[in-house]
Amino acid sequence: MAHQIARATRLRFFTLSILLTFMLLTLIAVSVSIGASMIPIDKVFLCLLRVECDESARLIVELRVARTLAALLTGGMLAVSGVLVQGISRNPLADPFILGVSSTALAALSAFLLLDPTLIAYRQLSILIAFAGALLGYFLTTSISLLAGGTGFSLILSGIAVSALFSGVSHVLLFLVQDKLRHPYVFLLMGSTSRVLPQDLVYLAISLVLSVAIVFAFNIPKALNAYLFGESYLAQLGYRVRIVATVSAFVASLLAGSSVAVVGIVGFIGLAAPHITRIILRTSDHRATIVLSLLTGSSLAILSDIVARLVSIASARGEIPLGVVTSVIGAPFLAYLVIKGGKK
Amino acid sequence: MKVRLEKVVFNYDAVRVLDNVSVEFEGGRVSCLIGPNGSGKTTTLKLIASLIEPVEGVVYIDGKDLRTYSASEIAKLFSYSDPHLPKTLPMRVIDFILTSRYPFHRVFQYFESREDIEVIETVARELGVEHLLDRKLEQLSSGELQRVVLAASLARKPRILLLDEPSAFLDVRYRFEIMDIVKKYTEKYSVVTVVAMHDLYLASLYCDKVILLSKGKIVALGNPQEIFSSSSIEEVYGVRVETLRVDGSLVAAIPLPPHEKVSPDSLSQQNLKDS
Repeated sequence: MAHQIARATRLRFFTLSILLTFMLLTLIAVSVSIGASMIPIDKVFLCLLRVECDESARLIVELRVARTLAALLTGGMLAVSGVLVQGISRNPLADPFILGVSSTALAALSAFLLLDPTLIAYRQLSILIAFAGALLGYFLTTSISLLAGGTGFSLILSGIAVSALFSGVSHVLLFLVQDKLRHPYVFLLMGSTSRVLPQDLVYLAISLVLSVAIVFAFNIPKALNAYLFGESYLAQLGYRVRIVATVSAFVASLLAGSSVAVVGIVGFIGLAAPHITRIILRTSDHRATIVLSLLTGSSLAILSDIVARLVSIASARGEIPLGVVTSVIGAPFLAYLVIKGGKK
Repeated sequence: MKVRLEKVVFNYDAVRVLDNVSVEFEGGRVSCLIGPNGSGKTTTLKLIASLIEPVEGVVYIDGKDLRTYSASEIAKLFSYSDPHLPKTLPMRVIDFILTSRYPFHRVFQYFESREDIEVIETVARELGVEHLLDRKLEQLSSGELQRVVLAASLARKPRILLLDEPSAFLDVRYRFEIMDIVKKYTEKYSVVTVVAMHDLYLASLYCDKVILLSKGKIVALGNPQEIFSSSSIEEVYGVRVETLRVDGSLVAAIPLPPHEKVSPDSLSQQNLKDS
């Protein structure tokens, strides 16, 4: 019996990996084919495959690819961050956006932009600042929650408080500095992939690869599996609870911070991707959810980005931020989770 | 294998929970901690599992100070089963039992080994939870969950088995079954088994040694016959305890209400007065 179940679980994991990868590739293909400039799809792919490519087509395709990859990386990063914070808080409603981590990251970045507006061009530095802001935000939210009794709901409520406060602070700071920024500051507040340059992708990729490497080096997925059954249970198995919690919070903040620094605040992907993954996988085994969430998160982000672009093309009023689309899709999902959780 | 507590003191928020407790637990025997709520049963289990450290005194495992053992040695030695499992994120029974195999994995091992699955298979069959392996934990009844928790404990092949109320939510048949399994396992692998128990009747049937705790102190200690026929148990609990001799040497303890016999008349009169 146990053997059959273990085999079925492995099979499920591999099948889902293949299906999700296939879906992601399809979405990538759709994403690079859609844009405001109407160049024929066959031309796009000829250009991508380096068969033949004129200068104007090359530029357009390059931007579309950059944008698609930005959505892919951001989605994956937010999803992994979501899996980690849901694990360490043992709270199915947690996500870097809801816990206020994204907002404090942006507030930190905005404060430094006010001091020196050229900072936005230095990606490494802005990522570091946003990362520090995210860490502080995580610390702040968990501290308030502990003061309020450390329950699941106190964590979410203090997250909402921190998130509202620092979104406001970021808004004010960015409002003050807006004349000196190259792009409308709304794109940082609501997140957008439309202004991402190919060279920015490297930094996103580095922080994602680094984070995943840390997660596996500390064998965090297994530790989180045990952590779900309580701190003393994890300690009993010979793990050091402090290290597991600190490393997870650190990586979750790095991922949320760097995505905020490059793309801006994109909410709800960190919430939805882990849940969708759990539902199709039928378990929270982190060894599998971390890997599959990367794929679901990327797919969700690219899908939302496609929707954002379609709306912009249809309205012909310029770009609509990605964060707006994810909120419209994600908030009902949150409501669904609240109703489902409340019934238990 | 032998566990010895020597003059152990533990405070919880400046309240003394264990006061100068010295006791020895031997391998191959089921030792039971009994006593009213708050007498220090769970605290004693957690001290042995080194989940908390004594303020004073020492816990010895085979004559060696518990503090000299490394975290991974302790993980392979003990299993302490907490009856309260958080179930906020959905996990299946097999996923839960698999976590208890982690102490046996190599440092960077990510996937379970064939041996892990085999151990789970055997333990699940012994405890009759085979059909539950693919279910989610939150779908289990409290009795099923209790058996799953014990299965996870045994899947660790512990040398020292610490159980907190293993029979609390079980119906009478599973109470006997689960204690039979615990007893068999204890004798077969000469494990040191310490069980915190509320059910005096079950304790009298299955324990080889009974430790009666009250307000953090050991009041009485001995085999079930001695303890359950002594007056100390009645004093500590404030109830009457009758003992019955069954099957020759076996003694069954039956707790009875402290007051005189309740007659239907006195009850109805009481009700009339209240209304």
